[in-house]
Amino acid sequence: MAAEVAVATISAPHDYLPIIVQLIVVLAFVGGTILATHFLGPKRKSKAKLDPFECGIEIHGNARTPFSIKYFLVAILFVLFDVEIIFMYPWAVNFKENLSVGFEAGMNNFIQMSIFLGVVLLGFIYVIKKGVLKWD
Amino acid sequence: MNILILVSVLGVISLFAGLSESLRQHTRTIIVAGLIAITGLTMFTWNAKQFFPEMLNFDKYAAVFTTVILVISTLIFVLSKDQFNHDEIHKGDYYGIMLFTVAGAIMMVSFSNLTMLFLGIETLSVSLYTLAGSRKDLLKSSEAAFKYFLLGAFATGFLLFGIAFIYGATGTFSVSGISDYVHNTPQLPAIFYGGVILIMIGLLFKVSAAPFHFWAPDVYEGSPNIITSFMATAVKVTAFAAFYRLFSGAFVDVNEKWDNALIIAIALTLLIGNFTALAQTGLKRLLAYSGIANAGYMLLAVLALKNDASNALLYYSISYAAASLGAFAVLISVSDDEKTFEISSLKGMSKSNPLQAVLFTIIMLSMAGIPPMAGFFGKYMVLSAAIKEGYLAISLLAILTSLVGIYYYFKVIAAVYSAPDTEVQTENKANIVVFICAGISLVIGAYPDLILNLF
Amino acid sequence: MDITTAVQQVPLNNYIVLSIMLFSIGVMGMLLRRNAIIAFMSIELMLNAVNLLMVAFSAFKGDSSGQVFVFFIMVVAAAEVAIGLAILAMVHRNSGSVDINHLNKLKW
Repeated sequence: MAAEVAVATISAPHDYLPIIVQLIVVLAFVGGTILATHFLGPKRKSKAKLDPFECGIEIHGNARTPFSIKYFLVAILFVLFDVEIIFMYPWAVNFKENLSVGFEAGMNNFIQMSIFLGVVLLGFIYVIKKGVLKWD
Repeated sequence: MNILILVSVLGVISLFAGLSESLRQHTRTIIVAGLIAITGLTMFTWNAKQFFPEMLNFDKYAAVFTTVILVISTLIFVLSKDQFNHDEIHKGDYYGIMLFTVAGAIMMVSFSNLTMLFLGIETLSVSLYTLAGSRKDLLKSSEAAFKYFLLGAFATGFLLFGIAFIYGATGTFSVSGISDYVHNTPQLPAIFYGGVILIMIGLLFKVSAAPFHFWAPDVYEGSPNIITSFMATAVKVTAFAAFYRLFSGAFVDVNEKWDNALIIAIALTLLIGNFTALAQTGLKRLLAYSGIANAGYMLLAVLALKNDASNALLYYSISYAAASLGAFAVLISVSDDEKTFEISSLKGMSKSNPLQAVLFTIIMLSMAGIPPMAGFFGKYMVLSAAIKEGYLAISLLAILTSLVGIYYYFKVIAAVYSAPDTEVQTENKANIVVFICAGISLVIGAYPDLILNLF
Repeated sequence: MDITTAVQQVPLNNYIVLSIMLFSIGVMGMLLRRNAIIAFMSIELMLNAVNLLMVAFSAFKGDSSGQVFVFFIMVVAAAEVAIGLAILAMVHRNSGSVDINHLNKLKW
């Protein structure tokens, strides 16, 4: 199966024609349905109809009220620590290969990643000490 | 490499020291002591074993500029006493971020691979965005940080796009690899030249040269005084050192393809910087525009790099940094971050503080380029380097605009010596940093060989 | 089919043109739009145009250093956005707006 795909030649523009046809059909269906419901359905507007929740508890307040900066901090910290994983990816891909070279290379591999993780950990300890993750 | 690690570790120490109340009071002392030790280490061990020479090559050029940056930063830490008192809890963070800026600067002057240039620029810039907004209670500080961030990130985009094009043409990020490629390829592809111009635009943004200078006055004006002095001295010197290192290392052989673009930028920088400075009434904005004008003179050294102008660049950088830092030290001693400080408020300084007035005069004369001071020899050296390479017209323009410059520097000196509006008490003390800066301006003006023999 | 040959199925010029288009959209968005969040998104678009170009060149040159550079760009972009959003939150607290036109306290 894999060999068959590998010999596949470069696609010509007319190979994409079915996709374009499908795209047109899909768009026409979506547009048509929206238009059809617009004309078919009855229109009743009242305060109860325009509520976010027609039944259930009453809403109070504005959705755009300011909320605690803690949420923002946690989100930003998540993004930062999450992105650090990127550097482990090439390391993990080459891990087995480096290990098979010998003890020396494997040890080097280990030390380098330990230094990197140590730096990230220092940042994490700083965040905790600063009290960013305390919620009370 | 060792120096970079030591500076970063010092930064981390400062971050953690800021957490405890008792240690926080001594953070600045620890940092100043540490920086002095690291400076000594840089001077004596620059020839030591290198760890990743294909990434960071700590050669003599890098060692000399690292020393300059470390000395300037040490002086700024000395100056920063009481500057962060408005935010006692975060004092350690500000010091730590300033040290990370220095770490980025060291990467920028010692890179031998475009990856490290990019990382250095970003380490430096991202830290500076934060520092520019460090007066969280003042809108103008937040505004300066925001403008700096938007335009800095914009410039980074151009720089990266240029690097991508260079990589597409040469297949390598290493400076020596690019240089080899340029040397061995008779017909360079168009995307290579596109890349060079895009990188140049990105770097001109960072050194605040016209027509990409418009962020500088706003950011200088809005940032806290101590951060502005940092940006105007250490950061500017670093940006020029990196600019020179990249262009002399990689693109020197295609010099005739990019020098016209650079000449236009220099001409605009000299004209806009000097003539807009004439109209300024605020001292900080005047210094910002004088920084833009000085960028024009330093770019002359980059223009003349075919015949090794690194000596001229180094001498000019030191003389400019000393004069600029001295002027900011005076500004810090007489004003705070909240209000704009007008030049006319300097009136009566010769009465109230004669010693500081004399030192300030020396500094201003050095900036204006009056002969016995260092500023004159700096201008002389970059101009003679440019003339030797045959760039006559732009050198003539530089001489003419520096005459304009003398006018506004003398306006400041005149304000210092004019009569005060109200009666003032006499005190005869000057900040140690003002003293050191005026001393450097005089000494290296009298003995230029002290600097020139370093290379 | 491995990923390098998949990338090489499209001619290199198309990648260059696409990333120049993306980059230009980013630049125009940055220069024309007045909302700070949209300016941030434009900057991200510029950086991603660079990433695309780097990966394409890297695949065509058969050299992995371009992809490593892309990793660095991604991490730095994340750090930059973290700082940028924090600055924006500070501006919003001080001025009550994220419209760039309202930031005119500093003028020459």
